[in-house]
Amino acid sequence: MIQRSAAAMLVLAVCLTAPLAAATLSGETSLWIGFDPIAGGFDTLDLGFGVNYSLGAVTLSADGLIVLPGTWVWQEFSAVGQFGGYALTANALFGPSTTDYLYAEAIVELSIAGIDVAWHAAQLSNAVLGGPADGWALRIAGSVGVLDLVSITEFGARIEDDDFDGITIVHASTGEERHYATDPVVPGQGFTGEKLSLRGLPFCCADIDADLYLSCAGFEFASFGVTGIEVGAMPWLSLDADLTFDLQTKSLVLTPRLSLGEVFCVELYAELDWDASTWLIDGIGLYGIELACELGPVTVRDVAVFDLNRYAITTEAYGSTVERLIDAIEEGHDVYPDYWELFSIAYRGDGCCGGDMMFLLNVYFDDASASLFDWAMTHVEAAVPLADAFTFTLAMESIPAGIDSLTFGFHVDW
Amino acid sequence: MTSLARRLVSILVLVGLLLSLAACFGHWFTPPQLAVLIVGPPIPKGGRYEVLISVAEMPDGGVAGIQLGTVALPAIEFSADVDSATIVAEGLSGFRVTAESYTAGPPVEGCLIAAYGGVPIVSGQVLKLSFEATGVPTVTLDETRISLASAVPAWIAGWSLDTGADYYTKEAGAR
Repeated sequence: MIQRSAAAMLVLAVCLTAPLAAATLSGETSLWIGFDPIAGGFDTLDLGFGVNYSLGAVTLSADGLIVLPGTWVWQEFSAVGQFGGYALTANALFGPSTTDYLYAEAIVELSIAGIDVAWHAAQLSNAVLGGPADGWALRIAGSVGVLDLVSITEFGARIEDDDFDGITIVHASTGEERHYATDPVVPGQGFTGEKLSLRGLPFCCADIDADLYLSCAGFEFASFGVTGIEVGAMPWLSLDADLTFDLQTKSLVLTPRLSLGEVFCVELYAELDWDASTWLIDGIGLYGIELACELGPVTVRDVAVFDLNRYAITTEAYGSTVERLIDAIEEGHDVYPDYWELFSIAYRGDGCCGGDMMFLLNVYFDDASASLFDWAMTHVEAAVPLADAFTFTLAMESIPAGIDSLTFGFHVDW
Repeated sequence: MTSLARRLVSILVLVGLLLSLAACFGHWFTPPQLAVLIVGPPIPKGGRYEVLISVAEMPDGGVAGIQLGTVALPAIEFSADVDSATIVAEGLSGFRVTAESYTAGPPVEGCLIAAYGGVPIVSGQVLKLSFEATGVPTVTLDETRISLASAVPAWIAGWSLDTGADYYTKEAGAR
């Protein structure tokens, strides 16, 4: 049955592309080869490849990833198109390493007289731990005066929003992930839920946000929230309030917010020392500081973290900023948990051949290192365009024991 | 065909399409995913091998601690070609390894305890084992010697061990 449904979705996507016009073919290929000089041998071998095929109003895409030792982790096919007022997005994901169909998603969106209608359908195969699952949902959104209303009717699927995550499919041995907005609920059978959201509901001195969620089993929760409540003559302090009714419990959460404003080139990372059990604000804690200065195409930064038990510097891929460990885990951001300071020099400018040139030098320090100034790690990254559509990339990380990783790569747009 | 007729036909086609797809999606029973501890296969990386250990759909708010055996009753068994002196266990997603021990072998066996003091993990990677090996290594866990703790705090019951899953889901619709 699952295979039949997947085939139906693919046939639907193909049928919708029937009104063909002039076709254009383009794509991109990237290859990263990494070495570990200390341990010896290959460290990474990531081959990404994408093909875009435009057929009139529809663009078909194929996107794959192969990693060491030659494991073909993903093969994704996508279709994006616009037919009059209808916008279509379709994704199908396959696991070539096990020759399995994994997941399919179709989204059709339409705007009529200020009302946005979106139909989401998704299916997860039984080749994925957590499957099989399937379902669809209808999202209708519009505005009445200052009030924004959203209704999501679920028939076995949930749409990603503030309360529900989408679905992330993980490759167990490599940790590679793919994320989609439509989560087929397990189990899913007929009507499974209805969520009503109101935003900007005027009530005396504040605007209230309200959510009501009903499942096929009945009432699940209702919540009311107000953000940015100002506190008298203290402009640096504001409060968020959330009142939530669950089936057997009711909770009121007050969250104080600290706003120190902006100071040119210096950013203080601070939070209120707030004890929610006693409702007492004990003080203000500084947990980090950042100095940044832009000198033309060159940016110089120094970032320091004072509380490594709760905060950390994110990796280069996530902006090298100070982030709460809890937030980093929830958002799936990678961090350096042991480095308390970062000194960074970055250059971004025009390359010689039409592309953009990039150079990044990040130097990290920790408490445990026996090196000069507690130096712990240096990360170097560079992207040099050799032609308009051909970019050479280099990345290197060195630690006190020597060069930890050395990676070469290229990216070609064609 | 009049404008009204065209609208009626369009509506009928749309309703038919929705009903057809509704027949494909969501009208047969799909069992719920149970809590599972997932052990990936050894992957070669830089002259070493890495094994990722993950959890999915952990109840009671997620897993906050994991114990893989004891010194007397180790839960981790490595194949004979693994060099026990090179084994390194690393916590992921906020987990930290607080204690670990490995025998010289053969057989090479080990135990460890890892815990997280912040947000427990409902679904995601919790541990990475890396080591050097002379051949094609294997890593197996003894389910009867593994304990998982939640943040409630309580022991997590009703989970299963899976060493064959290539793909799994995480962050699936939790509020």
